[in-house]
Amino acid sequence: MRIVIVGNGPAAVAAAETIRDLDGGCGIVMVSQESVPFYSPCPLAEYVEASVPRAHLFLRPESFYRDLGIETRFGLAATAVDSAARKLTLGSGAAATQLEYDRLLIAAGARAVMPPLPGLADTPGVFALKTLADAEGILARLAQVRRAVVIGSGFIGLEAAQALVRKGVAVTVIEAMGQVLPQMLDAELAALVESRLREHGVDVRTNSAAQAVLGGAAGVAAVKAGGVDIPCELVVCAAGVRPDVAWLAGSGIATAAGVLVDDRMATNLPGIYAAGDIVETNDSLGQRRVIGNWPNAVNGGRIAGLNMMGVERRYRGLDGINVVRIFDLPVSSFGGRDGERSLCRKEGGHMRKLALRNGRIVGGQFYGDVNGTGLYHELMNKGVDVGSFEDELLAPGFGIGRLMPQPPLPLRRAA
Amino acid sequence: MKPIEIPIVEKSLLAIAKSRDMGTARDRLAAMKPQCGFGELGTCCRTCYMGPCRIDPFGDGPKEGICGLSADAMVARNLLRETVGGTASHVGHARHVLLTVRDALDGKAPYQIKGEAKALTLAKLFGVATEGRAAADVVRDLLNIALQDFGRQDEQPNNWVSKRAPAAEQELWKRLGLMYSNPHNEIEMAMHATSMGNDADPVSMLMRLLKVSLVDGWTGLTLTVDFQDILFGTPEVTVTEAAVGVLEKDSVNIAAHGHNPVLSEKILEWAGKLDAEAVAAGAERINVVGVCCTGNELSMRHGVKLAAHNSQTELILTTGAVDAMVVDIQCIWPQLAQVAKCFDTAFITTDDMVRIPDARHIGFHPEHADESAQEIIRAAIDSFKRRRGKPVDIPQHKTTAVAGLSVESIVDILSKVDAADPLKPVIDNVANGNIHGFAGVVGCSSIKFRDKAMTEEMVKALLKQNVLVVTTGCTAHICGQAGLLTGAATDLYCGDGLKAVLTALGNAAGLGGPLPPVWHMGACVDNSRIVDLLGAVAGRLGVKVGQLPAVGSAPELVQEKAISIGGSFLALGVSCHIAPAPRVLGGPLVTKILTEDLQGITGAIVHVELEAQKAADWMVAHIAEKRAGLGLK
Amino acid sequence: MEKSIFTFIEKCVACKGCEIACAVEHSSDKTLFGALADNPRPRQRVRVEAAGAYSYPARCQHCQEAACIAACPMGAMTRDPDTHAVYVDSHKCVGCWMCVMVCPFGGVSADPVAKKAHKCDRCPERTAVGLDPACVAACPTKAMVFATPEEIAELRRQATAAAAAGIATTPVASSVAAWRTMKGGA
Repeated sequence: MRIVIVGNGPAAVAAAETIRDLDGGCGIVMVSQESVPFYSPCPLAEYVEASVPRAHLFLRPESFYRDLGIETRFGLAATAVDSAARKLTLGSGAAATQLEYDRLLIAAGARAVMPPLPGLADTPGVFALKTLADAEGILARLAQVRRAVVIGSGFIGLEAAQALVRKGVAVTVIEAMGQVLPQMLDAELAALVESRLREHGVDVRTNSAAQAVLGGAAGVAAVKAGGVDIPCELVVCAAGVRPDVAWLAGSGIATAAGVLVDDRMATNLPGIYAAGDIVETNDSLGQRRVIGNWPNAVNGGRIAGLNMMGVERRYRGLDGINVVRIFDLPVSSFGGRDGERSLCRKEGGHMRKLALRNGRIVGGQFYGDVNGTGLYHELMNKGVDVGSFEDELLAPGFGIGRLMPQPPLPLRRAA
Repeated sequence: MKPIEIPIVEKSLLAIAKSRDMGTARDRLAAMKPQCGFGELGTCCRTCYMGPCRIDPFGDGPKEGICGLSADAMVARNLLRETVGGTASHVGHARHVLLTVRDALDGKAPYQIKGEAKALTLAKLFGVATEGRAAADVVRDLLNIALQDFGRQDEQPNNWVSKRAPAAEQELWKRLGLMYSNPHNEIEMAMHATSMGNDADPVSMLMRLLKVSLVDGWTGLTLTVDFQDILFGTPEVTVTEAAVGVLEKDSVNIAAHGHNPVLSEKILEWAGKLDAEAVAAGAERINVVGVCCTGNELSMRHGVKLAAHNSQTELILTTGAVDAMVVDIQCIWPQLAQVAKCFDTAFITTDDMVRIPDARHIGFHPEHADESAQEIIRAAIDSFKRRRGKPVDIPQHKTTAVAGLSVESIVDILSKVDAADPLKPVIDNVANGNIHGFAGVVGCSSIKFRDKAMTEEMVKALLKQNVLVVTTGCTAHICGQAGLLTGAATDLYCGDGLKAVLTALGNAAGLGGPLPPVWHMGACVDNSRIVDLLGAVAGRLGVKVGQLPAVGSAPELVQEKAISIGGSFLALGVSCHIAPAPRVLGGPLVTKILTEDLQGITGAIVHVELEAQKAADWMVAHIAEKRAGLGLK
Repeated sequence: MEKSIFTFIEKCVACKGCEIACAVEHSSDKTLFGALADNPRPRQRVRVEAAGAYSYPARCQHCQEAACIAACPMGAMTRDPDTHAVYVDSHKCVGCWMCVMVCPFGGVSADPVAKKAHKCDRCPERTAVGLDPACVAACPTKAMVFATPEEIAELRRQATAAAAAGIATTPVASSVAAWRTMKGGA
């Protein structure tokens, strides 16, 4: 049996390890457009700011693929799937080759969104911060950079901004919406983030949509946003990421925003599975979504690996969790902000908010102190009715203890 | 049953604190939870350095201390030390008042003796000649009798217990070995007995606890109140207001907090004299308001308005409208200095024993009382100047409250009904059952019970069952804020019998309406007034105090002083309800003695109950037993 | 199977002795007074939480399928191959707090000073020499027990059998029973 895995990120590796664990003999081929071994993209900003050494990005030993008997086809893009013939096409034109599979896992990840702005695509000095190559491109250019513009204020944009600030670069963050972290926080928490960014010297401009990247062959000179030219020598485009599904057109694999999978991570076609940032499936509350993050990738990859090998295991759904550090201060959120009511606690410059609907937690936002987020998240996932102890939820000392089953009260010893 | 709600005053104040992002004691309590079970059970001993020792209540771990101390001895020892803390507080207060009287008599301290009537009454009890003598000389004789007790080493009975306490009870105390001589010796001996390697007998320590409590009752409470009345006059009935709404946006608000009227009387006096300076600074006037028990003292004697009980002290500062909070002794939270820093509030400590980081300290000594009082008032006016024009947030809640019900003023009212035998109307109505009995609901305000309105709900349940309630201390503030210190409350809350009596008495006394159903008798130190009242009724009936249909309650215990006061009630034979549980439950024998066996010793027991209705029901049932003992239905 | 920490919630009196013992064990010289001199101060990895009438020493459960391990993008959250305890490799941890986000028990916390994830490691230095973890050893009422699941199952079986036979399992003085009842109220 031959397993082909498109991708070399956390979902792909989790699946490969799971599969090898179950079957020491099957063939495993991993295909990746990038040429480097498996690395973690999460700390790329820390790599740029030099707080994480390059070696720490690589989470497996050099011998990993050899040790697990995995054949690698790196530096090659998967371009088509012929599900009837069970063949995957690599590369295009004359160089195209084909790879037969018994089971296929699509874990090709997501791509950085590059908006169609004049000058964005072809001016030197414009980078995303999605891949190791992006990070190394930024690092290679840093010596000539005094000023940078970050387009977009999602967590990648803000991480990039603070990494550059720490490198001594004057950073402007432009955000088309009225607040930073618009996917993650409400306006009240976002205002806290904005003021912290400003305290650390970041020029934050909200309601400021990028209109063009100015410059020439020598490199970027400015970003035009909100009618104003912001001079810079570097642009980081952090306008979001999107599942990389274009190459699957015509394959018969059902896609929407991402590859549609069921709770076994199976696509609509037999033998073909998907996991990681590329999938679109139910979240833990049963809503179909695309949520790219590391835990979803690893858990999805593992579930896919098990089901591909005939071990039935169902995925409880994607977790909509986010966490980012704003100059060392943690900020997190989970779920939605569309509750009927919200609970809020402010203390020592920190803020914690929970959104409630029908007596249940439907989301949370935390600024400054994220401890316990996982417990609230679990209460949401399990649909626990918190109405009877709502007042205690955000009080100091709330924890799993409050949810423990109560033993009967003690027996009184006979006199 | 309607759900019990957090009192509206607390609700409003907490909303302000929240709007200002200020943590309160409730947050600090939540952070402290769960609180240590060894502490709650009393089975933690830090007396010696082989320890600390802790005894496992479930029996799998240690069963005794390293020295072999039993769990019962451990809890008794700890409770006795709490009692000493309470007694030392009141005895210290008493001594301070005595020395102020001495300095006043010597012309060294600027205080006038205003309570000549009280001095004359006491003179009779103490055999001090009054005929043709100047009041000051009578007072000096009384003072010397009192001071004699503090120096004596002759083991003769203490003057203030032997001349002031009811005779029948003294007989019991002599039999039990509870009569004391020098109060300081008892405090010393109790500390000695509870240090490492001394008393290990829980029964012996509980008896000592009663003895130390008697020191509190007579040398602490009674002596203090007697000389405060001599110095400042005996309270007369007055009408005031209670709750945070008594703060005035456009006035210089000075909150007097603590326990000792030696300070607050001077503050009030100089507030009047320096009012023009406040007006010149743009204020309408100087508004002295009372907080905690010194607030009660001022309300009893001058009708000063009551701004806050103890657990509201930090909250009223968050209004931003308190220009100065001036404090003396006991129950002063260090947090107040921190809250005051957030506003234009001068937080001023005055007693050299009570020093709080970040507070401004203006040492207040009676000999320089006038100068210090002026300095404090001017500090408040300076704060007002800084605050003027800034927004403040004063919840508008306030209620009318009748105060000033000393035994003397109660007898005055009742004299208007029956001049020859003032207590008769009350006694007749107890006999016929219109008044089921009496409850002294006293003590602290605890954030552990405030949000379920423990005190108010319990008092209302008592009134409904025709129990007449007398109150002191922070409990009096709570009753005041709940509107229970008014004639209107009689109509609202009392059972038919009690309502009829209070209405008839009020009308007969010419008040044009019912008497309040809850009688504000003063500060926590004024619990001696309750004892005097019970003593008078018992004397009139020819029974022991412990036989009366009366019961005590400290429904929101916080301070060690409440333990020693409770002990003095138990020694008198008056049973007490208490909440939360005293820290003795880890000692089954001590628990049993306090809740059962003490009945056979002094005739009183302790009853723990955390729910208002159940606590009231127990008190009503307990009074019914006492009535039965007197042959009443 | 290997030993892990079990809690008998009915015996916890919330003395927080486990919290102190844990902090001391994770200090530089593993003594109370030495721990006080550490800078930054050692932090405990167990927290006693209110549980109605009871209290519960909350800590990492060392889950078999640990969400924190799956969630760690640095490979810092690791399972010890010998003891099967889950621990943080602080050289690899970058303090991204994904583990804090996914732990359903609140068993991993963010150390704001060290900027590293912070959790129970089940005292590997103690257990390696046959000692119980510090919290278990410190518990004065034996509310926490370090044992194999089989040993715990046997203890629970005995308790159930005793209860079925009408023998009180943990009878306590009535005053202590009253205390427990009151804790549920106030």
